[in-house]
Amino acid sequence: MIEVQNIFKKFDDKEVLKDITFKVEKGETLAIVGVSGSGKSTILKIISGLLKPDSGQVILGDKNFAMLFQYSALFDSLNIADNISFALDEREDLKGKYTKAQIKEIIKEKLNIVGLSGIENKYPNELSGGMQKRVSFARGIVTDPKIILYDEPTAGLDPISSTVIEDYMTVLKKELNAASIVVTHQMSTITRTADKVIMLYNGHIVWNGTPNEMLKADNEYTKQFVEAQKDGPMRTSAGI
Amino acid sequence: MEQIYIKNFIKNSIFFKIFSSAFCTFAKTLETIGYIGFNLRDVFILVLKGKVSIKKTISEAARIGVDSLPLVIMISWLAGMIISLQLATEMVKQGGGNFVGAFVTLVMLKELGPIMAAFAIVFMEGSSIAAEIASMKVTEQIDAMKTLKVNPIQYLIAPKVTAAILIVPLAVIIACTTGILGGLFTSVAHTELTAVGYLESVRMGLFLKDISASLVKGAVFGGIIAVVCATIGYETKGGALDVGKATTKGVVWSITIAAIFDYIISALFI
Repeated sequence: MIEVQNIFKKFDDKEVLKDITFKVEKGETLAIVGVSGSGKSTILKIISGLLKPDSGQVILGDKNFAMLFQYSALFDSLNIADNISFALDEREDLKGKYTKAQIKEIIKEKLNIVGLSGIENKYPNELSGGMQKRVSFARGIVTDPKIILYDEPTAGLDPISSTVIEDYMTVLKKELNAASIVVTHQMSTITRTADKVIMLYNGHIVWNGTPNEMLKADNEYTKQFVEAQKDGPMRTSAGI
Repeated sequence: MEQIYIKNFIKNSIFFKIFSSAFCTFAKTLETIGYIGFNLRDVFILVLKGKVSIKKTISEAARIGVDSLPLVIMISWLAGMIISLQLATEMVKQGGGNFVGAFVTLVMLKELGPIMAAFAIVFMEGSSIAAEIASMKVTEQIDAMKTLKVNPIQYLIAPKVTAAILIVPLAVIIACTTGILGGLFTSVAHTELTAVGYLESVRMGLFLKDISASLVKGAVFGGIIAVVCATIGYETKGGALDVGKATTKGVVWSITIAAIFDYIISALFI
């Protein structure tokens, strides 16, 4: 379970998040959508502890969480096996808990889940963008997290790779029964993976509901987003 | 109305702009010094708690040592040759040939050995440490590390700083030895001094206090280079351009801080 209560966040003089509150239950996926610069990734960084909110609090039902980054963020000096086993090898509470043979087995199992077997000795720069994302999934789920945070998981991927990634997100949700949050711009990701949606604009939640409701909603914000219209109440951070 | 006009006039004046820019630079400098201090404190705590990986420290030490060794040898050899070239001819003419070796040894031990080793380490390794960590920062690898609950100071910075503190004194010994040998080469080639005479003179210039100072300088310079470059890399924000800037800043800051500590250590060992 993830509970975000009355979060406020400011960068210099700009208020990025204003009174954000929502809750995600176990086995549920929440999609956070909105135009660029609306504060979506900032929410994920606050939930994961990478940023501190100015006020408000985040309650995590489980401390074991994974965050999957927009550009995979694989460690480029380590091979795929070492990337996946990184937490098992280096985390203070997990060091020495598993034997080398067990770690090897876990790496194999996680790579199988994301459909990438036999690439243990390759390096991240030898893989395509889609494969790197799947490896970052495998790295994220190595400790069987109960909370998964996805930062634009399908950004920069072709539609077929995006579908593959979305399928893995659904598989992971079922396998781990995790509470997930996905920050995305892609309608396909919302409709295929999310149970609930919140729309952010100018630091506020301007709409919330289910993906189906979003498609049909008579709301000027959701309409502009779903129909990808230039004209409407929302402007991007680039001023468009 | 008049007050707003005066406020805007002051805000737009060149003096205000220069002052505010200088103040910002000063504040940023203090901030960077603060970050360096905090990271150094964290590294020492980790070392004292025995939480720095010995395997990673050895691997970093090997990397720093092997990568910078050719440059250490080359520039120290040249430095020894140049000092000897400047001194030997004149000293022999004046009847002080017996002191050429001692002079070169003193200069190398007291100053040039540690400085040459520090230059080689900062150019070969300091810049590489800053670039490596900065590029990890801007590609979110450090954030990923944090979300995997691995402490980046413990994993990335502490082994590098510990390795540099241990390996740079060794580089200083090599630099001093090479410099003295470089001096021998020039003295023998350009004057009637013999190799035996030069080496006997070297013995006159060897003092335990100078050797200790030289090793202390090596350890301090090593620590400064690693912690400064790592911290500047770690605090990088932005993209490729900022990685480049961090690399330059790491080298400049390391040399500047090392020079300050060089003066302090020299003063302590006088």
